[in-house]
Amino acid sequence: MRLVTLNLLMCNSEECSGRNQALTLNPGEITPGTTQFNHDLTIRMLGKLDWLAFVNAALRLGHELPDNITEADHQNSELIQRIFDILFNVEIQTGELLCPNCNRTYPIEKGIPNMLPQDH
Amino acid sequence: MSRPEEIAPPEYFYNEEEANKYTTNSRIIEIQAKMSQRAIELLNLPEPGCLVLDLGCGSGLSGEELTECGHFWIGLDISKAMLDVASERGVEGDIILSDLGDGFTFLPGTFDGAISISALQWLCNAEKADHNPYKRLAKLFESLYSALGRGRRAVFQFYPAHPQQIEMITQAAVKCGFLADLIIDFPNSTKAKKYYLVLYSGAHQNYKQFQPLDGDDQVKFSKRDKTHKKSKKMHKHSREWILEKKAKQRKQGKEVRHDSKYTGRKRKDKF
Ligand SMILES: C[S@@+](CC[C@H](N)C(=O)[O-])C[C@H]1O[C@@H](n2cnc3c(N)ncnc32)[C@H](O)[C@@H]1O
Ligand SMILES: [Zn+2]
Repeated sequence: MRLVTLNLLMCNSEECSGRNQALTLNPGEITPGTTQFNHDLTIRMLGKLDWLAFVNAALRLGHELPDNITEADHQNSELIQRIFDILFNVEIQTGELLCPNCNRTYPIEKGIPNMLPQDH
Repeated sequence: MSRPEEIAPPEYFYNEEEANKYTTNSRIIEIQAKMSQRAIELLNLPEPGCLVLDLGCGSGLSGEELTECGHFWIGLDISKAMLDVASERGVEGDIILSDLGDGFTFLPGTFDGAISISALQWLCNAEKADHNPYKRLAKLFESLYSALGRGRRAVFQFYPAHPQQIEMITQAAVKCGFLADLIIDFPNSTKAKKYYLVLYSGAHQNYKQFQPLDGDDQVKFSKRDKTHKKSKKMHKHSREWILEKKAKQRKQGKEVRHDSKYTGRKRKDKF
């Protein structure tokens, strides 16, 4: 699971239904990815992400990013490349997603978060 | 041949052995790729670099076609074995273990589109005592409607067991706010006949109607459920009706097949 998905995936518990509750990461093993740079995708993602949540998640894994991105930054190819790499080339292999609202946890194994209801 | 979804629940049917068999079968690879390409065409995305959901992504055969088109995808599937194969194969998308019938939650309005290849029929079965297929479909469509941006599409290729299933699926989708089109490609070929449910999330602005593919000059129609909801009379697909519709489309400057003795012919292979 990449940081882009961490940013977009919300808690799916009954208790959090309708809240769009973000999840926090309790990281285990992290590996670098090899996804090829995609400029258009990165620019498009800037309009979609919860930027502050992304900045915080990245910071916790040791990657620093500016607090906000302006239209002019879209021309800064070095920055766009760096954003891409943090979004798409930081792969969470193991760990846990944690809901700060309902306290549910979702395990991540072999890079795959498990969002199934707990009675599965 | 019995339908896989009647044999066992998906997470059991697609076990390790089946997941490997499925993903290395060259015939399956080819068919899934073709259907995925068609679904992506119907998705009508504005440009490469889009964010797309793959519902029932399995081992990533469908997602790979999205990657080919320069899109990034996030896939959901209930079979851990299928997802493990996807991950071993190093697919470019991100994958999540999830039961579509249980719904899912993403940051609202983020996805530029969604595809689902050969998965939807699985939701029409009640796998557990507390499963209600209609409710599970509604959960899926409700989640999807929220995850998609407005004026976006979702394309589901699926294998309906009978017409009532199409009806149930379409009803559940329309109830959640979608406009629905059913496109049937190669309607007269037993083998090539394929069903695509195209859902539009609200706004009409990018509305572009597609015509079904058709190899041998047969009936073409595409149904728009909201507007035709109550007009289900059978004479609708009669020869006269088709000829009139074609004439109308020609007038609009659309490319329309020529009328032949086969036009409006009754189809043999019903389901
Ligand atoms: C025929 S495979 C298609 C996989 C992939 N889309 C492809 O084209 O190769 C059907 C997939 O649907 C998945 N599926 C069935 N029911 C599901 C459910 N309720 N939630 C999520 N996935 C489901 C199965 O696990 C299986 O991987
Ligand atoms: Zn929660």
